[in-house]
Amino acid sequence: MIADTNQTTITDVLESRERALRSRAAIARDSTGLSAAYQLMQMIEKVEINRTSDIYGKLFMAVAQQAARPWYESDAWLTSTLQVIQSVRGVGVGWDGEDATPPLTKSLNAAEMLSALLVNIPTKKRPQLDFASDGAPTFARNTNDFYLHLVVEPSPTASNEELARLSWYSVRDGEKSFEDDVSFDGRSLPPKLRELFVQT
Amino acid sequence: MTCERCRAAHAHAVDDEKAEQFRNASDRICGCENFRLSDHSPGPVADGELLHMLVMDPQSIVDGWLHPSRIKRFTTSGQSVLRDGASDAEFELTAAQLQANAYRASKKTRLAGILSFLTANVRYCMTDRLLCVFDTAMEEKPNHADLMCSGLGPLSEDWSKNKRKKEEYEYAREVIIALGRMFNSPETFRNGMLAKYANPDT
Repeated sequence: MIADTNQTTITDVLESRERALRSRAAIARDSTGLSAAYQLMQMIEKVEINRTSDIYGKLFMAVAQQAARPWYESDAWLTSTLQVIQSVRGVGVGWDGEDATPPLTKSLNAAEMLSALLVNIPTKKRPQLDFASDGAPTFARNTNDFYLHLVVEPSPTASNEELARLSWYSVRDGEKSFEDDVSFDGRSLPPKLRELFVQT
Repeated sequence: MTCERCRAAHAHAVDDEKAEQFRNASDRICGCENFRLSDHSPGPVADGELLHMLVMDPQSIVDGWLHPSRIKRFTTSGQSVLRDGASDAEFELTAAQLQANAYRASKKTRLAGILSFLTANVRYCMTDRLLCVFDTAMEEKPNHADLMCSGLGPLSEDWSKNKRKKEEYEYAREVIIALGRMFNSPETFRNGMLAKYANPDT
């Protein structure tokens, strides 16, 4: 496997933030004797950590539960999905055994962010990630009442406001729906996508 | 001659352009199906033949169906399959090549399953054509065939990007349904002769 040494992944960033939060939670517990969960909740309010953010919410839950393992390991689906993404970082042409194009780094980063946000939907509805021969990260489900084909496409503009574009086709209880080039900023699921999972 | 154009499409050097070459080689949809495209082949693929697709990654099977990510290849270089008449050696060679090629590209992979289906089931959708099934034999794999997108119809060039894209996604679902979900595990297919390729470290 070729290491993607220049790449700072979402996992790196979140691990670093998790260490910082754990450290601060430990200090709070030592000085007050109150539970880490309670202290952390106070810290989140006082230091204006964004509680509404899905990612910080996940971090909060992990620290509050004082899990021995990193937060992302507490979610088997997310762990598995991040490993799948990691497995194609740095691959060459033909990574699928035939002639597939390597996935773009920015598409992989967007897929990581999307995965982190998808942990907020019920496990049985979460889609499975695979990569197309053109390298596009592609999420899918195919059950009796729900079909989803979601593709992460690179954004045509380099902007912090848009990490990628999402296109998806779904069939839910026989009702077909198609969305094309939906902007994804990496901070929240596009409303129509969230709605799709909520109603499924 | 259409046959010569079809043979030229089969020999085309750029993999990603093969499906397009096949579409342009004949005036009829899937016209190249009628020809024996290689001196090594046993002949055109018949509707009644059973075909087998080696799926090399567990991620490519979702809820018991082929993952839609796999359909992209049908529109570019074509999806390789082996005809039921293929020898065990042809299957072994195919699995070994897929695994070795991926490894060379720095990706560990393993054989997740073998999807088997009837040719007629993927060729037709009601009265329409769905996939073309071409005899694309090779010297060391005489029972090699390719599945390729038949094209989205003569109106597709006039459609908007959005409409064409939607059609592609719908088409992918139709293909997945037509392929079915008859997956065999490497441990059970042909008495387990591909079982060793289910291990990523083979």
